[in-house]
Amino acid sequence: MAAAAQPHPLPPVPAEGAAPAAPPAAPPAASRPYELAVAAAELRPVDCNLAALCDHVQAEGFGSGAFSDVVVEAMGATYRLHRLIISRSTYFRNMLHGPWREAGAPTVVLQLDDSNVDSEAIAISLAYLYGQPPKLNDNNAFRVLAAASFLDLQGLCTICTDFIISELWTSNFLQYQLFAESQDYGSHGERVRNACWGYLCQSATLELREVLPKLSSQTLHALLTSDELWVPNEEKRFELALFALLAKVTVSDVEVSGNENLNLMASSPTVDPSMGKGKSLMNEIGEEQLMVSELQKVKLHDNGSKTAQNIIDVPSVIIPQNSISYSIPQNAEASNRMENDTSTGGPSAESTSYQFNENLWHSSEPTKNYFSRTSSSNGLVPSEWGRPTAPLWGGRVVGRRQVRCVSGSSSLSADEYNAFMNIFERGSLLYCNMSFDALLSVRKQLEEFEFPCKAVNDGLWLQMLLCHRVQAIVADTCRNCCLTSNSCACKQAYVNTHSHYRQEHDRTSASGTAGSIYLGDAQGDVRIHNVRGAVDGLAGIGRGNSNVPGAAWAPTRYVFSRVPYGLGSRNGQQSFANDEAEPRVDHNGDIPGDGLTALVNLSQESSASHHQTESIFEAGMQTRYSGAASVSTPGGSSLQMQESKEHEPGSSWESTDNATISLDTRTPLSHFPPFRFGVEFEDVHRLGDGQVKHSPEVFYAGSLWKVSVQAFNDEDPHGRRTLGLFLHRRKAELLDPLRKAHMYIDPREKVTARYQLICPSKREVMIFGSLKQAGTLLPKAPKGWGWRTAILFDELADLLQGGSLRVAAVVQLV
Amino acid sequence: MSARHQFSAAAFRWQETDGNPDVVAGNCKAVTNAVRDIYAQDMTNVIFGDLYRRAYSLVLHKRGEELYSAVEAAMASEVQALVGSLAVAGPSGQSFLRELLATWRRHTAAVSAIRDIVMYMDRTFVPATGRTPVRELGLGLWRDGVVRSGRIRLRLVEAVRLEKARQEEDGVVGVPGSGDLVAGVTEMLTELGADVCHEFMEAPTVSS
Repeated sequence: MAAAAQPHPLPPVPAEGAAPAAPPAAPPAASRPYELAVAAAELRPVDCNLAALCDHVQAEGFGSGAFSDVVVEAMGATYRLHRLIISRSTYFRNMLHGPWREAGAPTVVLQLDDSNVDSEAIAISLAYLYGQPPKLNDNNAFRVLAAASFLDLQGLCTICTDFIISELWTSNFLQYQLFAESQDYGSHGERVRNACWGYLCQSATLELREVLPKLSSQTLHALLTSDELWVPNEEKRFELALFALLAKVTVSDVEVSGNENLNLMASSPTVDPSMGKGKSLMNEIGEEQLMVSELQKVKLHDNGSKTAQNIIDVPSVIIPQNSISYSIPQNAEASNRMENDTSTGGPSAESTSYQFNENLWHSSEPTKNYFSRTSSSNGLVPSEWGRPTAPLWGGRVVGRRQVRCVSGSSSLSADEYNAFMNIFERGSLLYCNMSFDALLSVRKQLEEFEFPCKAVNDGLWLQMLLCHRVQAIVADTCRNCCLTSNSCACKQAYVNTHSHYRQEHDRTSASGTAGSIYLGDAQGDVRIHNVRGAVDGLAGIGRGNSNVPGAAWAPTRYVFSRVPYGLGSRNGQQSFANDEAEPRVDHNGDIPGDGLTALVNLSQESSASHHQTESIFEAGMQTRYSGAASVSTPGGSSLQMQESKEHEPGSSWESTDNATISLDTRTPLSHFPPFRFGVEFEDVHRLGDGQVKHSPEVFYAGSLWKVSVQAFNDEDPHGRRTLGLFLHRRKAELLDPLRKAHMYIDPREKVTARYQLICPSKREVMIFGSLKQAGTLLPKAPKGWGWRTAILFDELADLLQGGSLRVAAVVQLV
Repeated sequence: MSARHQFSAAAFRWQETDGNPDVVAGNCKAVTNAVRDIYAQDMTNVIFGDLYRRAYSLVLHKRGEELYSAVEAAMASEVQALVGSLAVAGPSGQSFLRELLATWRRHTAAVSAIRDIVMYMDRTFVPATGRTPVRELGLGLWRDGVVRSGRIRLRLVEAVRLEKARQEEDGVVGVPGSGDLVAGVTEMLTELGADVCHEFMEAPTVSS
């Protein structure tokens, strides 16, 4: 019988335990060697003694104040305490030991200026000095932390911080965020702040979305700018930022109007809790509704302007399509969404009230000057060509629009305005990684708020340049060894034909007509100069519904001064109103360098319509030179030029803030902004050993990228199970023949890239890899590259949000 | 409950966390006054609880910068005053050394008291911003403001040399206290830094 066999090995155990005659409650562990057991048994009376002392001190000392030699008064309560015990706190020790007046006083008054501390928190802290473990909950943890921080009880501070971090949820996030952000609780506050930050990065896109408008503008700015923020793609990041902006505007309105009500609430804590709850809930709901309606309004706006744009702005749509052969999975989704919007909602009343105000743009001033100058200047002054081109496409202004003016009389504070200006215009959003459709919609939405949209326009060009650059590198890369021709020992036939081909084209370009500003040259490259404040670059490409006249646009940083070929030879006499989109798409990504056709077309358009735009150009220049002139628009809103001058720098990724940025076809890829995307893996904690999960693929720079996780049990030296994180890359494929035009392909087997995989969580923000390194030659397609012991399975519970692991990836081709 | 939470958090944001400028200035003033009183060894108006609370509140509401510079300036000016009193102290030799050591002890006691008051600043603001902790600040002020300052440096070197010479003359049984003087000076210099001690103790022997 099994039951009979079992007791047999056991006898030594009870015998061992019984020998020291210890209290029966604590039988020693069976595996423990005899000596250890004896030692433990000898210690046990001491433990008992300690426990008894502790009980005595707690009950007699703190409980009934026996033999008290000091009285502490705090927050209306009186504690009869003991100098010896309370001197565990550095605060009390310094007070009772120093040369101070109160050193020998029988009564000590605890004075506090911290509104977070209440009498309960003080009682808990003092009881902690007497050995009582604190009973923490959601309501008192931060109060106890505040009191313990004042009394310099580091141990208690740590207990509170641990509690707060482990109990940090969406419901109390804001409370803790504000607590840690608005006061300085030293390293403990820092821990809470870091936890909040990690949690925010992980969940801002989804779970904590509603909290965003209530964050301080600094936090919001840091969040929306950060690579650590988990957000599926750049479009979603923009949506998030826009949501925050709209909600912030709305919330501040509510605050202004509803201040009284809220203050009433604040000053009467005795109000029946349920009533208070109901009230504030209603308030919340009211905010939501307002916010929603606001959002709807903007959406409707979009629809209206979308249709208008379809009619009028066809050339603008065509041009970049030509060259940006670009598509990512989300792309389709975004456009789908837009279509849906158009079908469901009709244009609102305001948005259709466009005024066609052509006269505004007609000028009696001669334009010959401009022509002669540019055609003879051989690319020295050509930066002027790209001034605001909106008038080209109908020259209309939107009147009587009821748009919130962010910069003007809005309810946003200067601080918040600057934060959003930074987010939208100064390189925080990497527009160049958005699809073209998304960019158009982005710009329309930004124009509603009268942002200059300069960064958006730059994004288009960066996108194009990146495509161009990738293709150039591909052409220059040996197919055998995946190295560029400089370092490759294989044959270089392909490269030779390529350069020859381009030279040919350059010849043709020299014969370009239309007096374009672009002058072909034999080098066949495109150079972009940083133009500071002087000239509007390419702003206005595809601009549909600007409600700001050209003069008010901020200058673009980049201006193409030379374009290699194809000047006008193809569509030379085309007028700006031409809407034949299809014919121009014929030459796309297959031919390296062809991405520049868009420039050519654009230049023709600008030259074809110089008569209309010249006056605006001049006006614009004057305004810009005069500095802080306020330009009032027909729409009734005004825009400070001072503002637009401020955000010129900072486009370059490598923080070449004040230097002239010269992006051309030889610009190294590392000077382009990296690509960010976010992926989510569900149920990773259930992964079996060796099992893999793959994220969906996203398009960037001619390749498809994804992240995978894999479970290992043989990688950790201590035998713990680990989760590996890997980045995969393969050459892009034409998934959808219809969207062929948007895609370009980097056919190399291997590419060099630097990248980061980031797992934000309230525990910590784990960052793998660095964007400062030289770059890794990523392995061939099915393989990934990454960290096999990135995460321990044990710690997964702290890293997951709703059971799924969120990974933010930053990739940069180099 | 959660709705109330959010609400209380929102109300909390409206609070002027930066602190009323008058309050900030008042708190800084109180602390600098205390520094003065502590150096003057006049503790009648120095209440630890009150001062600690003021300093804590400044740092808590992110005014550590103001507090730190106020404390730094107050300490520097007090040390300057000590230098002035030393300069007029006895001509040279033992009396000078005694005066110097007494002042030094006054200074370290004061620094320690000040450190107790601004302990929270020392614990949070100082490491976060990479400033010098108050104790090191006090040592630095004494080292650069007193010991290495032109006149006192020369007098100190001279006095120490005289003391040593006298000790040698008197043999093992020295004048009571004179050996303590040299030992005290050495101790002080060591506390100021090993290099400082060398600087003073090596130089005279080499020259003599």
